[in-house]
Amino acid sequence: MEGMIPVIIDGQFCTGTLISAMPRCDEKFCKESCKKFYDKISILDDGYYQCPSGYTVYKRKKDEKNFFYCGIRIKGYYDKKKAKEHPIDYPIIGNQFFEKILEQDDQLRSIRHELDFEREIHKDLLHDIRKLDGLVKNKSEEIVAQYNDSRDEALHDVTQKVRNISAMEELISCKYATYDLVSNIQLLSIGNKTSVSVYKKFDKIRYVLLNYKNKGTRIDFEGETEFSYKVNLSYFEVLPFLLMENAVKYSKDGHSISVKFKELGSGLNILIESYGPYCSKEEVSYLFEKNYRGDVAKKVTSEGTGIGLYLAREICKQHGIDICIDTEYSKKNNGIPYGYFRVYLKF
Amino acid sequence: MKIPEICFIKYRIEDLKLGESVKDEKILDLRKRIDILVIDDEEFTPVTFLSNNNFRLTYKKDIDNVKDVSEYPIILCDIRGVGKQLSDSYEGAFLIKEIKRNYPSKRVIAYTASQYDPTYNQYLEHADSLVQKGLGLEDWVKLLDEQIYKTIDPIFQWNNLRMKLLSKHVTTIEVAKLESLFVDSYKKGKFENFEETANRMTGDAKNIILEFLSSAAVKMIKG
Repeated sequence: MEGMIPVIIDGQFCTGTLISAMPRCDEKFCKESCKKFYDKISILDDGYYQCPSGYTVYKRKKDEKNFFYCGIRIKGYYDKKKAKEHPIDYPIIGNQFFEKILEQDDQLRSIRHELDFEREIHKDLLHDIRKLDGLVKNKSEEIVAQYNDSRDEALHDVTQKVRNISAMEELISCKYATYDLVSNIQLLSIGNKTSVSVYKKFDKIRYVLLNYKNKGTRIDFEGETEFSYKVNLSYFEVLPFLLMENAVKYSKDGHSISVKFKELGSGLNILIESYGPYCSKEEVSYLFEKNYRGDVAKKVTSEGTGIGLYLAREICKQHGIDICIDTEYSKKNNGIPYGYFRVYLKF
Repeated sequence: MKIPEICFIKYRIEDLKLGESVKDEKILDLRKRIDILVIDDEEFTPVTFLSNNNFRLTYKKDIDNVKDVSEYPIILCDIRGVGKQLSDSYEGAFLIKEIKRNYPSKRVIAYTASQYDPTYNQYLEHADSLVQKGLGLEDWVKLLDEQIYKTIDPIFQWNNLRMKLLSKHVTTIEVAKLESLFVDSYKKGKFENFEETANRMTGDAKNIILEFLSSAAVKMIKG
C-alpha cells in the first residue's frame, strides 16, 4: 500500500506520494548488498540506519512487521558523499520533521485500511443482497408462470401479489445494474447481444415503476409493436428504467407520461413525453453530461444525481441507438416554469 | 519466374444453407440434445424452471481442471467462489478465459451477483455473454436458446474458427481450402478428410481445428 514515504514491508517496495523513491532503490533493495543490510537491521532496535548507498533508513517494528522507510536523507543520518544522486525535488529533512511525516503516514495507512475493510464488507453485502434478490425474483416468476392462467379467484389474487413482488425485485435489479454501470461503464461492451422485444422491455419497466412510485402518475403506451432489437440482456433495461423513472420523478402531479412507439422501415422510433420543470433549450446540451441537473429541476426536487441521462446516452451509444432531447415551455406555476420534456430514441 | 500455385476452391461457407441443419430442428428438441454445464458454488435459482422447459443442465460446485468442461458445449459460469484452484484473485473470470482459450468453440456465459471493478474486464471480455444472477426467467430462456443455435450453427462456428485461424497466421488460401473441405465434409456428414488435413497441420492451428471437430456443430452431423 502506497504511503507518503518510500517503504519496504514484507519484501515489497512502495514509493511515497510526498517523498518519492530514489532512482533504482526499488530494484536494488532485494539485491545482494542491500538485502544483507536489511536482514541485518531487521533484528536490531528501531531507529535510524545508513544503507550501503549512504541514504537514511528508518527501521520500525509495528504489528509484528518490519517497516523500512528507505532512500531518504535525514540530517545526521546519511552519507553526504555517497548519497548525492537525487531528483530535483528531493529534500534533506530533519528527524523531527521526518517523525511528523511518519505520524501522518500512519494515519493515512490506517484510514486506507479501514476503507478497504469497509469496501470488502460492502462488496459482500452487495453480493448477498443481489443473490437474494435474484432468488426471490426467479421464484416469484416461477409461481406467476405456473398459476397465471388459474381460474381460481383466490389463487389469481395471490399470483397478482407475487407478480408485484417480482416487479419490486426487478426494480432492485435495475438499481444495481445502474450502480454497476456507474462504476464500470465498459461492462456494456462485454459479451454478445441478444434479440428482444423492445416494447415488452419498456412495458415491463412501466409495470415496475407504477407499482413503486405510486404518485398517481399514468404512463400511457401507444403503438404496440413486435419490433426486436439485439441488446445487452443485463443492462439494456436500465435505459427504459432511467428514462421513465426520470419522467415519473419530475412529472407534475395529475399529468400523465406518454410513450409512443412507431416502426419506420426497418427501425423503431420511441418518444417519451412528460410535463415537468422546464429545461431551457440552452441547458438541453448539458443534460447528457455526468452529474449535471437542470436548474429548475433542482428547485423542484433534491432527488437525483444527474447520472441518468449520461448513462442513457452511454447505453444508446453501445447499442447504436440515437437519443435526443427537446423541450417546450408551457407556463409558470407558483413561480416555477413548467414545460414539456421529450426524449426521442431511434433504433 | 515462379509459377503461382493454382488451386480449385469448390465450396464457400455460404454454400451451406442454414435450413439444412439449424432451422430444421425444433428448439424443444435441441434443448434436450445440448448439455449445459452450470458451475456455481451456490444454488442456481432458475434451474427448476429451465429443466421444466427441456434444458439439460448439469451442476458442478467447482472444477479443478479446465478439461472438466470438455463434454459440455455451453457453460454457465459464476464468477465468485469458483475456479479457486486456478486463480485466487480473479476466480471464475480467470476460469472463463481459460475455457475459451482451450475450447474456443464452446459458448460461455458469465453470470454473477457481484460487482466487479474494471480490472476484471480483461477476463470477462472472453465470455460470450455476461449476465446478472437476477436475470428474468424469460431472458434466461432466450439467452440459452440463442446459445444453443450458435453452438450447432455450422456457419457461425466456421466463421469463428476462420477468425481464429487467421489470427494464428494461417494464410487466406489455406483457410479457403479448409473452408471448402469443411463444407464438403458437412454436406456428406463425413469428416475424415477434414480431420486428416488438420492432423497434417502444426501448432495452435492444428489444436484449434481438432477442438472444432469435437464441437457440437460437427458432432450433430457425425451423429
